[in-house]
Amino acid sequence: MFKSLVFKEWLKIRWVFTGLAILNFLVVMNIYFDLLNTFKVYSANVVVGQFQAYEIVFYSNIEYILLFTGLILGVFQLFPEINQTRLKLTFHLPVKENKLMFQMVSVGVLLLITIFLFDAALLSIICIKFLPREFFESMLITTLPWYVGGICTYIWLVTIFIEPNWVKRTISILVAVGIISLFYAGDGFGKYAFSAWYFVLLTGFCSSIIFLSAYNFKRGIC
Amino acid sequence: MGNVVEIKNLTHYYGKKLVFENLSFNIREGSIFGLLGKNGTGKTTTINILNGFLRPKSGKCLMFGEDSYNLSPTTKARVGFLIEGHIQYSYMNIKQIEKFYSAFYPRWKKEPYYELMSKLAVTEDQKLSKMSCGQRSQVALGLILAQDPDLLILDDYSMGLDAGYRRLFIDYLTEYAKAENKTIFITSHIIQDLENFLDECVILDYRSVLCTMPIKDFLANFKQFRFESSIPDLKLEKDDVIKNSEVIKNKAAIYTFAKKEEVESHLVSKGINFTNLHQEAMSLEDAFIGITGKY
Repeated sequence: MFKSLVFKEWLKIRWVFTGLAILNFLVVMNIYFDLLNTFKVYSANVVVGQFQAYEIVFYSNIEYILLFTGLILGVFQLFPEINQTRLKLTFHLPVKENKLMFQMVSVGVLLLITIFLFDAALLSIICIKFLPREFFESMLITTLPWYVGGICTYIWLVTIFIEPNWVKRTISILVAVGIISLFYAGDGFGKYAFSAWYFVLLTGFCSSIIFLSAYNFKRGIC
Repeated sequence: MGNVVEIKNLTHYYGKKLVFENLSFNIREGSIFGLLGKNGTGKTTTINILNGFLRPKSGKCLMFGEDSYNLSPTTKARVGFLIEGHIQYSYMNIKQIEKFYSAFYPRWKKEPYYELMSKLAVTEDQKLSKMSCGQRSQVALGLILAQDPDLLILDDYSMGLDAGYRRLFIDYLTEYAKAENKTIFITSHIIQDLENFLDECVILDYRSVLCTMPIKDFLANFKQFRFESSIPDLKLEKDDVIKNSEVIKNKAAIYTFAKKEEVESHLVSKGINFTNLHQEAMSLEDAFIGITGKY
């Protein structure tokens, strides 16, 4: 049954997934060519020195692309379900509603992780190729909250979409904006070194709210 | 035969607005049961409660003996559900949607689905979003038939369908229900289509139930009497005998479960003079309008 649900979700979002994967690839390539150009114009010592002295995050272009990726994937996955209360069809399937919801969200999260791992791998290669190892480690710590922020954005979008009550939906939007802004609050050179993993825990906690919205949806649609 | 659905004293509000109060009826196994009522009387609300998509304020709703709000997957697999407007996954094509659903239902039979699809001028890779409303209704019906459920819940199957597709829908359902002893619970705005289809019905009014009975009894016992009166501005109030009435100038129509003699004596007791009191034959739609009123 899970395979069939994956099939349904894939049919729904394959094109937007492909588009987002291409967009992410182009942004990473843009970062690569910018860096390549910088190293052509200036000597390696100068570039590395400048990066260290001014804490330049040369990969910052990817920051809001990750948020955008989570947002758009969520919209394209959930809008068809909410439009004309099509989620009723899904909830009528002979599977427990929470399990269905978990499986649907898992598909979205797995697709996001696929894109983000691809980004992370390309950025790592770029970092290792051009810069000392400390830049690579700093890049991982700096970008981790951005990747997790993309997933958290997706999770909040699902929560907001399936919540049937407009008051609760508005509160969810405000809470979501507050929480997601934390993930993108600082872009400096490993600023989250001691707290990066807390964002993962925070996202895990936020995921549980989806089930509350699913419960509200089931209890109160008309 | 037992009851597939049992609704007991169901009451529901939206905010402070009462939708219905103490709604009770049972649906027998193998019967075709109609939920009739004008817009806003709570038909879709009842169906949402029955499918577990709405928690009622009070009362009980049992499907195959289970509380409808907490249906087990096994029971859900026994229920085919047509959402108002024939809603389906419109981004799938004919083949994909059959493949998707088949994984969930152990009794899945694809033959009735593809038999129905072969009658439509569509290709297997045509998306539902590119189909007409009538074609989508046949896809939705075909999927329900392939699921081979014991109970079919059809919420306003006639929405957006022309006469041909409505007839096709009912013909298929009739053949299927009778051959396989299926139970059907149906709502529709096109009452005339249901006349020879339903076994029993419940007729809802705003906030209350007007009647619950076998359709044959309803058609046999609910009558329309017409008469003329010389009373200017004649007004007929609803009571135990007069369920509804219409007055245009000096001509009146009474809708009632009473016999002609009872109507005569009732009018006399109310001081209403009348001439030419006679019964007029009614179709199910006439009777429905008679009992619910035109407004």
